[in-house]
Amino acid sequence: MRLVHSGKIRDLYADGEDLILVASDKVSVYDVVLPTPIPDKGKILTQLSLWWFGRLADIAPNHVISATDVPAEWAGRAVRCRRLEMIPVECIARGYLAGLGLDSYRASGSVSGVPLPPGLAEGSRLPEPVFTPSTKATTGHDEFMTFDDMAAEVGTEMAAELRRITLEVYQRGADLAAARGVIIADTKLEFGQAEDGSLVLADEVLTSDSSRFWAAEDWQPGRPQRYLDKQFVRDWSSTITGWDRRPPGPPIPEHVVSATRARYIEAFERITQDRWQEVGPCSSTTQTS
Amino acid sequence: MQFYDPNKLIEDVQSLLRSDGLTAEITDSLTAQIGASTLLRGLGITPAIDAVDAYKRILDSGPWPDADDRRAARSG
Repeated sequence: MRLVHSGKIRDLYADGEDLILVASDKVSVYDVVLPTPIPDKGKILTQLSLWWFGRLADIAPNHVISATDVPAEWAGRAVRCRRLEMIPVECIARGYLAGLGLDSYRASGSVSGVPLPPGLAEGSRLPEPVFTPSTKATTGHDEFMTFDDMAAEVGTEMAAELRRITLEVYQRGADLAAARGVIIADTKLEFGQAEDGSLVLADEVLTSDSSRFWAAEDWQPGRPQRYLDKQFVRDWSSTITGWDRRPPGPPIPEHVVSATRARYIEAFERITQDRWQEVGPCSSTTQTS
Repeated sequence: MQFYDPNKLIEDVQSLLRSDGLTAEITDSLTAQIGASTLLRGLGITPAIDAVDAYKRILDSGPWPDADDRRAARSG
């Protein structure tokens, strides 16, 4: 087992030909990773991702080899994955206006070349989900690309397939979550190709680290939306005077940690309709490809 | 199938052009990336990023909503 890379929230290990993604309990706010972990966050998001992979397997195969064949110290928060050739495009689906999508709409009335109706506000639901791919350049900034740009990059057939799968994954996830009181405003998917060229869903899927989760009961277009799980941290951090929202972030007080942990669990339980304790750290319901 | 990283091809070409005395700075990354991928596909090679390289980038970027907000702040 070899540590290949340590990221902001997750680490990557190699074990022979396999890769192992290990989630930590770190949490970020306003793009700054805070020094205090949220206990079990890594397990909760890993189990949620595995839960989704299982429910999306008929749309696209996934990269999961095993969620249990991992070192005991990472039990519940690590996934052994296939090493794929990764598609050089981020596949993003947006069902609501937020982030760069909102910014693009305000500037041009469209997102990734897809025109949207006038009069939409921050947090507005879109008439239908839109596919907004972006580049994966090693230099410069990632930027939106149109579908035609993407087709020029990866080929028309593959671009169409990536768009279809991305929107299907988002729609299924958003519909299911909405019925359980969670708005999945948007999501970013990663895809790879197997040796035979088939498309495989990779990385994590439909977690709050790859998507915006809003509480349906708090949703109100025209203002910044409240995040379902880490809003306590965001609210608390906004009360801190003297922090310029740059690293290093301040330590999180215990009451905020426990409230935030409870919200991560609530998000998990709302979506899966399963009690967090019953899921346990090693009993995933993953269907591998 | 054969795979090659379009970003690496861009670096390869930059290096080649610089050895001929050209500046070869990226002024339009989208055009450069599309061009590199198109060239690869024209040569029967599938543009793709090695999984380790791709995950390094993904993990360094952090949670996607943060990254998306970051891009919005930069463009706004």
